[in-house]
Amino acid sequence: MTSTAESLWLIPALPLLVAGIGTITRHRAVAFAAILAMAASFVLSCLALNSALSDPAAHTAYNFAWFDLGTGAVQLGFLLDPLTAFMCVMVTFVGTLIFIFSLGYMKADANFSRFFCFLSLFAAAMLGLLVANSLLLLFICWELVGLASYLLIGFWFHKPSAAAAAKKAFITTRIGDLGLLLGMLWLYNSTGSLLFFDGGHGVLEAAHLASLAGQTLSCGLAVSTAIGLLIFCGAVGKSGQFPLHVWLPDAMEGPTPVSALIHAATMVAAGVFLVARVYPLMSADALLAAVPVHALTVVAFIGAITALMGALIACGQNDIKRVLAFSTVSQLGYMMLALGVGSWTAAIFHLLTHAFFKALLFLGAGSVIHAAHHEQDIRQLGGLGPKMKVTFVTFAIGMMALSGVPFLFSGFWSKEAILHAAHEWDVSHLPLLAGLAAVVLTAFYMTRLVAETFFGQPRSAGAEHAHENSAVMTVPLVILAVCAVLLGFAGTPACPWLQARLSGTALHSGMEHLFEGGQHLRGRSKIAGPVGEDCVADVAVDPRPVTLQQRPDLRDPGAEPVQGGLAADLFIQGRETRDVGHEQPAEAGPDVMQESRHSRGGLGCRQGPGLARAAVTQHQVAGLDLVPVAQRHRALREFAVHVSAVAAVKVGEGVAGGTGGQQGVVAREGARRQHEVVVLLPADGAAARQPEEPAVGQFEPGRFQGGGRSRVGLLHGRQVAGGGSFESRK
Amino acid sequence: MSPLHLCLLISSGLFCIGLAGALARSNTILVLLGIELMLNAANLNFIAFWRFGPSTTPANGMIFVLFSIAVAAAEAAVGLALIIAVYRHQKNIRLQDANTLRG
Repeated sequence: MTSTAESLWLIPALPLLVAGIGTITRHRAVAFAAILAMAASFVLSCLALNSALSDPAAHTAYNFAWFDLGTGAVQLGFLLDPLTAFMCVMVTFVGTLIFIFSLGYMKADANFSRFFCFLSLFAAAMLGLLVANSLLLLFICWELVGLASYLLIGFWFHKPSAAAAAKKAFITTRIGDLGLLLGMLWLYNSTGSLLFFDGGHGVLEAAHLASLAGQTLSCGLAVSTAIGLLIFCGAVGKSGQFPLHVWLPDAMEGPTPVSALIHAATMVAAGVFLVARVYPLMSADALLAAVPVHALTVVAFIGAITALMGALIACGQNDIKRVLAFSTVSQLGYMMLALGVGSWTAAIFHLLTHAFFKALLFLGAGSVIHAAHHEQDIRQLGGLGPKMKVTFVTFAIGMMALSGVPFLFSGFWSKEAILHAAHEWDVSHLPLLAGLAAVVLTAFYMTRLVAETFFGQPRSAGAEHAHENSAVMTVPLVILAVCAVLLGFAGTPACPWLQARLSGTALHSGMEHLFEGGQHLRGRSKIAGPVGEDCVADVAVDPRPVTLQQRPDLRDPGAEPVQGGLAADLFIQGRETRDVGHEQPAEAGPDVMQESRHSRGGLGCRQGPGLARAAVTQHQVAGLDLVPVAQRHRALREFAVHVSAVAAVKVGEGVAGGTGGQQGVVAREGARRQHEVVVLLPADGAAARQPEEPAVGQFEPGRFQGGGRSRVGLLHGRQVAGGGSFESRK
Repeated sequence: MSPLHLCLLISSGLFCIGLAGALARSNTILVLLGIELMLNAANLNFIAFWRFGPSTTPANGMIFVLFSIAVAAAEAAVGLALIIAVYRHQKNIRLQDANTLRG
């Protein structure tokens, strides 16, 4: 059984329904309805995951018009891809366990049903945020999450500290949300759409990304960088990143299940999820050399600061929940760090494992607090180990997972992946050092927490008389503990099942529609795909006038000064190869793709798309380091033909007025392992000819000549070059 | 019953509830809620007449409603600020007690 994007709305709708019921009745059965609804959502999420994994690279979107406004319509939509599906499964699973735990924890509370009403609203908002295919829908759910967290943190509003904490959380996250709102408006203003994926028109797809990365502000930033940073502001607020982390520890004033829900599964994960979701937009500027800062660099440094700072503060806390709160701040910093250094999958892997072991730790802390008669100060606890065996063992597992005890615990695998990615990052090693320092501190403060709480002698009456809680509270702990161990094996380096499923999304996003959606290139200045973990990819067709003065990195000493021209970063789809090369049997296509799939770096290819970056100026077509590519690709020739061919298409379309990619100098742009092809084109504006057969160029290291034009031109004519997509800007 | 009639019935019901709340309640927040309900009834009328009325030029009714929602949001902000000020001053928000002009 599978699920489709059209039916995704059911996942948030079920908890929302219970929340609605909870507002009109105060019956205790609301709690059971809430648990049932979450369990049903979990089943639906599993079905969605099943169908998402059948094609991990696809983004199945279902879009619909919300209302018409003027000539356009405001569109919302649902999106089914592995990221959404994994997150939904995690949120509903952890959520269900937290709900069950709350049955025991809150059973004596006067507002029992109201609590479950709010919890359901919270879960519904979070799930809505996950399935959204529109930044607008995401924003609506984002604010609902903020509202629900306000209600839950201030659940015991008769305590002045709880009321203050709720207000603080709400207002602090609003500050970040202002940035998100501005980014959203700017994005809508620039692209006319807020849909993530929309058959080539979405903001995370090649055409719009190119246009955003291609425009530059007066301060030198690309528009995509500015929008990405504004959106990141929202994530900073929601995910408790420096400097907006201040609300998160205070949010401990809420009931402990709320802390578990907020800090483990939902609210704080929303910020990381948002950055992961708009990752193609955040990384659209990654290949631009001249910008003052890349969006992801900011993300990485903010994450590193937060990771270190959270761990440092946690060492000085005495409240059991505040220690955990600051450890959450620190771990969220790790996730942002992973996103910033480009390891999208490591961030989500850590997000998933962290959700389980942090929910476990918070529920374990809740169990301790409940048993010790609401004593939260670890200096007053102690000696609970023998009295609360289940809580002790599960808490210890959670602690070891958080500290990253090697091999057996999930936190080790995910944190290691992040540190590894930080090590590979070639911009700076400071984030890695901060991350390593925070690892040591994490182990320290967690050991301290466990030792103070569970060992030694009881130091208060509450701890003296503590006893194990009922099964309704311990069973969720045991289940979460099992997950905290097992989940790590979903993404070990030996068997990166999770990463492979997830990266189907990362590498494809923004690229797959380029050829189908080639007509959207018209008038767009630049198309950039994301830089994935395993391949460097960039897609761009840039009708901006480019001079060598603007792109000193492309300067060829032998070339004349260039007055204008086109910079084009090209994306070649390996699948098209067999259509182009007539010598190539049709069956060779999949073979090419197979070959491509495993390639790394250089001319990165994956599942068909071969990726290359080239710049075409009036005098120059730059890029593509052929030598290392040749060592990796049996199918080099096909790809290479492609490159020159597409370049020639533009010539044929009167872009540069040449007869094809004639002379090439191979340039390598070393900084980020990206490659460029420079093809020199005559600037005389000669009419393009259309040969019958594609000419296969000869490629030598350092130089290449020739270039097929016509077939490729026609083939891609319907897509890339069709309809005069490129204008000459002489 | 045509959809227009149905919408109008709902909106008149909404208006009556809001009116009753605004007139009969002594809790200032509930009075404010009543006023918001009446506004929403008016909004519903806008939309209904736009959607089912003689002229369905794009976005006409919608723009009206967006404006009135914006105004309502501003009004709610001012109203709640007043309520908080009153509460700070006399420690309750009963309308009957707010009967003096002197601060």
